[in-house]
Amino acid sequence: MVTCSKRPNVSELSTATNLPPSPQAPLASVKRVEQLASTLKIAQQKDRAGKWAISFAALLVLSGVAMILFFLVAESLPLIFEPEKHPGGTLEKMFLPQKYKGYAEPQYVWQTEASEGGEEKFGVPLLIWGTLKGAFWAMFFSAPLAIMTALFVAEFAKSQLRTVIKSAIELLAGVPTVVIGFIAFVTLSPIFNDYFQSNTAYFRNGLWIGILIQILVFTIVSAGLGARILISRRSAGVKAFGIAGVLMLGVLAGLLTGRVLDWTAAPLFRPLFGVTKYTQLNGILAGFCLGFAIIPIIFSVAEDAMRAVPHSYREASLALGASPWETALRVILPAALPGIYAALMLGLARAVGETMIILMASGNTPIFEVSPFTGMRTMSAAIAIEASEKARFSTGYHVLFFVGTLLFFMTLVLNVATEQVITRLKKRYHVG
Amino acid sequence: MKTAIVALLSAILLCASSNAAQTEKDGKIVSIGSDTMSHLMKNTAEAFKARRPDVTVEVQDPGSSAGIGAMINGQSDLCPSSRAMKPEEFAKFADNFGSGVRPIDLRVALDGIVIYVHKDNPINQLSLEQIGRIFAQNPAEDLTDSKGKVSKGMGTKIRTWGEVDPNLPPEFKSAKITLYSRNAASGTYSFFKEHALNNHDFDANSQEMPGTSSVVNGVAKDRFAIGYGGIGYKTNEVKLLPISPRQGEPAIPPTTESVAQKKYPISRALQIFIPKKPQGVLKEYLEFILSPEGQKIIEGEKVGFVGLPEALRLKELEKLK
Repeated sequence: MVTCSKRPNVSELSTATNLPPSPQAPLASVKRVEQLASTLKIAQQKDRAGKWAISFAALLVLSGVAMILFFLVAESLPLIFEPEKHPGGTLEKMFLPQKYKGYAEPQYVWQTEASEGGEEKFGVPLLIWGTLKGAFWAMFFSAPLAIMTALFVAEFAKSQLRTVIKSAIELLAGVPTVVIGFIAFVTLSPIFNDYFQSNTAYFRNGLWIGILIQILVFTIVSAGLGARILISRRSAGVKAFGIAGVLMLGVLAGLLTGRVLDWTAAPLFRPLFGVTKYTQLNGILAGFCLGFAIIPIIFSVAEDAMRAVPHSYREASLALGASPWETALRVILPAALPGIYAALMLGLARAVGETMIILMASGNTPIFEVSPFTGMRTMSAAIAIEASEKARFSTGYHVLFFVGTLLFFMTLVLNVATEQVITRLKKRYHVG
Repeated sequence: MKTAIVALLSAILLCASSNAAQTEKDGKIVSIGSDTMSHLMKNTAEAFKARRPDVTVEVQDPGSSAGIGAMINGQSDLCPSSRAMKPEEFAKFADNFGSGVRPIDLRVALDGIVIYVHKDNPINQLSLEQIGRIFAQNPAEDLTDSKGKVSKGMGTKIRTWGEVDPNLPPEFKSAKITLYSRNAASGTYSFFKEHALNNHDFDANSQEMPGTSSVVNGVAKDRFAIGYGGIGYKTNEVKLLPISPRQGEPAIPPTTESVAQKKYPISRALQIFIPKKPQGVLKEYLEFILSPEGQKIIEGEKVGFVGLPEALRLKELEKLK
């Protein structure tokens, strides 16, 4: 702040001393100095006012966060301190399997609407499971795509193409999540459903996992070799031939993998990955669409990190004879690792908290199912659905605030852990 | 910078003062309540607007339970609801509006909750009991609530369409039934849980949709689906199933007559709760809904409910005097 308020002072005085000496020098210079002093005073006042304004803004934001945390905690505390008023919402009832009336075994149930005299059931772990499941599949789809795109844009794309891709992804960030959710619900879910219904045998015998592996082998072989050919210094014709050959090689490798799987692992697929239960709204659908919502976040942070890697690294690597591909993979990627990690964590935090897509595409079924072809109910969706309906200060009302607090701390822990890991990674790679 | 701060401060002051001035309520009726009755409120409000252009009815439809909560908190002038109020809600209401005070309960239309299946589904009828066995998590158990009231079990859980009717084509026979339900903010959900599920919990696998049209939409795209909702949302891609009150009895299709005569097993009255004795435009609007003209709108294609029988209509009008 000190240097800042001195700045106008120095520049104005330097012009003053450069004035040519004149006959009435003493009088004029005194006047001039007075003038300058008053200008300086105004400038300093402006500085101070500006400083106050921005500090006030920062304080407002800070107090906003503090207030959110305060209300979340304050509204969930009655569950712990007034258990006699909220018998259905004790920590034990929320976190341990309960033997409810009409259920054969103790288990988690989330069923918050109860008729008169009936019991409300708050099995919070069901919601935590749903949240993790949604976030996992979102990351599964978005993380590789976003990071590979970032690497391409940062290292290989020409500036024109880079602008196009970047603005397209920014456009994706601008799409309201409710629109993505709507597309998932109205357009994608029937397509996924039809595909499943017409290939039930595939899914029942777990062959879908085999197909996934085949696709993976094909992608790795053809993309890996193809990229090498693309960035090599050959003529376009040779490249085209090379690519065609590589694609055929990829298909061959994929088919061969299928054969090998048939002989070896196929009998295991059915018990391990056989899908008998499929609902139209499910984890894959929700995760896939949620992935699109978090691609822009992961992409932009990761791309910034890759571009921030000093040019000297790149040049040194190329000068030592490494190809551009090797440079990207072995030099740029590790150096940008802290940033990429931050990008992934930011994406994950967003996936954990995102509501609209999940609300529309996951079916909101509060169940413990590992299979991504079944639905789930996330913490955020439960709050969105039920908050409007719970009477103030009822047990359900406090439970929802408790769930909100949990969600808050989950993202907080994620963020803090990210900070830690980033500092450590930065030290290891001597960046930043 | 100074001018900017002054502008900012005056803007904040302006916001604060305009907020404080917003108590004026003439010419505006705020309705918060049932999603099922959303069409009913919006269409009657529109027709009423033609009659009284100076009056605006603002219709919000978060669901009956949410609407009742809003009315108790004094946020609305009336609350359309597809279910009756619960004792604890009456107690909360009395806390805010004076002890012993109850909202006026005005029945405005009748509705059947209909069962939707995909148009290709070969099933042609269901019994009420079968519906419970399909939608409940543990339908076989008897439930005793804290006051000693027993809700009887309905029979074993039904999971596939073959268990409903063993003579179906093989494709349907082995198919798992996928369930489409409403969410807990909805009065339809509560009503269905009480009357079709006999207070049993919903199957945890039932997919909860935000509105009846989403249920219809979901069922339309899923061949093995079943869903429930208000009568006014039928499309060409779904089929409405006739319901029999008990296994073996004749099934009754959901029609205007069967609902009006209370023969259809899952029928209910749609009501509007009014927190205080209605006066002025609010009274006028309610009288309009209960007028023959208003009832005609309710029975019309856009809304699709069943109007009140004449005797009941006159009785309800009496409540406004």
